[in-house]
Amino acid sequence: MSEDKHLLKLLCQGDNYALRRLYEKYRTDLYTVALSLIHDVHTAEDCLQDVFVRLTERAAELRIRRNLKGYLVSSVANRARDRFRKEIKPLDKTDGLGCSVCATDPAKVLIDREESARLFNTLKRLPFAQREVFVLHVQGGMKFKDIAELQNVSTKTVLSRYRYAIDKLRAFLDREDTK
Amino acid sequence: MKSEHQIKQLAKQIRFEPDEMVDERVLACAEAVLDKSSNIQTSVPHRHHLIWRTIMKNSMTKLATAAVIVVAMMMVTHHFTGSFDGSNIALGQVIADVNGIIENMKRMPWVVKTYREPQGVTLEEWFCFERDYWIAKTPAGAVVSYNYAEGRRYDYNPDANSITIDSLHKENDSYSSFSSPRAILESLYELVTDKSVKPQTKISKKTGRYKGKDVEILKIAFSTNKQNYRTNLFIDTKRKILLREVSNITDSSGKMVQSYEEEFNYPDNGPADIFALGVPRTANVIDKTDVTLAKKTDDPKLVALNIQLPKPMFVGTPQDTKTPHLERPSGKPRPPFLAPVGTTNVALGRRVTSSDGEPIIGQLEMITDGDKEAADGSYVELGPFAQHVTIDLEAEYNIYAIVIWHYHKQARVYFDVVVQVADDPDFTTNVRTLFNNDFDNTIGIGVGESLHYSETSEGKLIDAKGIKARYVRLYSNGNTSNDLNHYIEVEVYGKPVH
Repeated sequence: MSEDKHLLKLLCQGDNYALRRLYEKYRTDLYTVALSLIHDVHTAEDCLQDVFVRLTERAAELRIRRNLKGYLVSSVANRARDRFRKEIKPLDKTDGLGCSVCATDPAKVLIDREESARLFNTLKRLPFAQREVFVLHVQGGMKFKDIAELQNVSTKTVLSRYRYAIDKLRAFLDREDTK
Repeated sequence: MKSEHQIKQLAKQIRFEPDEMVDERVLACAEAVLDKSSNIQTSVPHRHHLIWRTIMKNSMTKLATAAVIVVAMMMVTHHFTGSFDGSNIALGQVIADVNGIIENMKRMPWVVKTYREPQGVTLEEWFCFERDYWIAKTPAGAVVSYNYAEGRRYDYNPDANSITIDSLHKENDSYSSFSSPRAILESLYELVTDKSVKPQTKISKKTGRYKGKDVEILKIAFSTNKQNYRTNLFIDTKRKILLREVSNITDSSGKMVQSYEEEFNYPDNGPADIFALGVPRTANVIDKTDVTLAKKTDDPKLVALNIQLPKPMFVGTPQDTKTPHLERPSGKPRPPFLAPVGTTNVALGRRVTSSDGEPIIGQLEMITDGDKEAADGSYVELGPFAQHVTIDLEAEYNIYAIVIWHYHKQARVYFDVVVQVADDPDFTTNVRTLFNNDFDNTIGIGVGESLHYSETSEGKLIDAKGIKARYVRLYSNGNTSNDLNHYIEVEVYGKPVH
């Protein structure tokens, strides 16, 4: 039995350890996806909380077809999309967010942080549908087929949105490079 | 032009960690649901979930760093030919030999590591064991230094030309594990005592020359559960210290994760502070160790300030090319300003005094009456040349933003705008300058680095960063239309100091 299935089973039995282990395992990924989608700290925190509360509420009746991470990322995406439609004002500053950058060499963190911060800020400039595809695929690890199901569109549409997102990000970043 | 792969790599490297307060809140809510559904009484929430934070440190990163030291140490104390399986060397012997390499490193006054990537990215780091001090400079000109002896960190941001001084919290600061000279050596012990990591190290060597010195070139290969490391080390055979490292790291599918080169030098002297690495002394200094900020436990959330704007009195972007040091208008609305929940305009209705005791038009109380319209009867006109107004907040506040409306019926520029806060009405105690565009020190307070700006209905927002004060003083010195000084409204957004 995979770890996630085992932990879900324990969670159904009311095991606190299972809840904490699942939270520990997925908190960073889910928070990153939420912030990349919605660019609002408060909303991202709420999304994270909602997802885990919901998971705890529905652990017994969950039938996860593919993997738990995909399910959780989809949950975050749904909540982020709902919030976005309520026109949450985007965050303009990322300095205080404590964005960390994973790198095997700590020296590289300083360099990569600047570039990653630029990319993060540039994500805001994408239309939400394109941003969602890019974030869920690249950061959330979701397949295009699953994203299409989530967005209720065809896989071809998702692929187009992804291509547009890449092209726009490239154009924005290259324009800033030449300033 | 960035490739799709590069963009994806940058995106994958973005990682946000929720802070401890968020972790506690989420787990508390979820556990409450869990307890409710299972009818189990919970104990008082404990900090168990904080323990895993310290365990979650990336041992792979330490591995990469410590591997260099392990092999360098092996070179010092072991003579071998061909390749060998690292597991053949007794751990006890390795631990016993650690002291040798540590003593070698400690004897060096400075270690300078220059990091390079194939695409030309470079980072320079300086380590000083004697002072327990680390300082680094990025290609973009950012400088960071960690002074473990002082317990402070210094961050220079070249875009804002500002230096932020903050406390160094080893348990929370992600750099502390890697950048402290002591920590690098400590990681060696962890590597060799961590039995969950079993590098099957293959090492071979040959002799060579590097920058005029005899070296032994060690080829090291080892794998962990997730990554494969291939490293070439160039070791000075005479001094038994490392001169160069060339490394490739691939994932389990063979895809390149990272490729870099590091050069090591050992000068007798190093940068005494961040200014020695080119940080200008005119940079603005933000000393967070000296400022009382709203505590996270009290105000964990930031919200956009609700700043009500008056009617704009002119349309279009102000154009004034004659005023020197003039800020270019963005042409867009000002973005939301975030402040802790509960921040309000604490200047509303407060007493105002002025260097001009008898304004030409209006009364000083209009400056804090809440009326921001640029209509006749809504503004105060003070005499010519340098004048100031002082607002008594009647208590100490943590001030997050100050918004100023001079006369904004036209796109004027007011000169020598200086904003200060202090603990006393005469501005003799604990005076701090928040904004100063008096670039030629006309007023005599000091040379200002900020730019002049055109007046608009948005007002001028000054970020006060939570500074604690009771009195706010604003200076000006005429404007582009005349020598007189005008105020329509000043708002001070803050929260009471607990």
